[in-house]
Amino acid sequence: MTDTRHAWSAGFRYHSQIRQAMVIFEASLRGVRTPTRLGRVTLGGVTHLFSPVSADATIAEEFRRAHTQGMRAEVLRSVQHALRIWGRLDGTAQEDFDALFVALAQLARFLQAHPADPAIQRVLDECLMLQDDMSSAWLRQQPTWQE
Amino acid sequence: MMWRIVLWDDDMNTGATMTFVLHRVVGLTLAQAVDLTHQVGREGFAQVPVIADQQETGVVAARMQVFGLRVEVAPA
Repeated sequence: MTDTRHAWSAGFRYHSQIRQAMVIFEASLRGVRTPTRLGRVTLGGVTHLFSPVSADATIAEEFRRAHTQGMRAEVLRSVQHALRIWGRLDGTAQEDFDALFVALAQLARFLQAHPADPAIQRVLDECLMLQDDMSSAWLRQQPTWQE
Repeated sequence: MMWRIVLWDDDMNTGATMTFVLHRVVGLTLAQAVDLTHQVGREGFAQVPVIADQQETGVVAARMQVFGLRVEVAPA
């Protein structure tokens, strides 16, 4: 049987452009205003991380007031966690997995909000592929998983 | 008043990422998570089997959004 214990973390050693984009994203989440270039595109300025949860403006605003600050803080913690462990993953800690998953998911949305550029699109695609690979490996480890 | 969560399909998540979040974050069984993911793939959306008050529903929906899912909350 294939040992998938380390499989989900294997790809992270080789994605330096994702890490570079993650560094820019982290600074942007902290409110650093200095625009930073990734390839030919200038990245920065996180404004809306999350879509409204309702077409009803009252519901959407209540949700935003109650949760958005905490959600942004969790994304920032996850991105900082991901950067700390980048390149030295052993693929066993659930908290590492969760932080990487959130960091990749939100980085992809951050990149998507920027003007279309082939280099940015490549990094975005790599984020999503890594996230999918991680999730597939994680699910295969679950005792009740059936292909 | 009770509230519900609707999960919408999007162009960022795959079946694996959606199933992972539904199992790990929402707490559905793997079988439920897989079924719901298939329903979203087929129909474009699905109701998450979480019915609670506004605060509790909001907490679950917020966690789902942090993990990258596209959700809607509404009165049940």
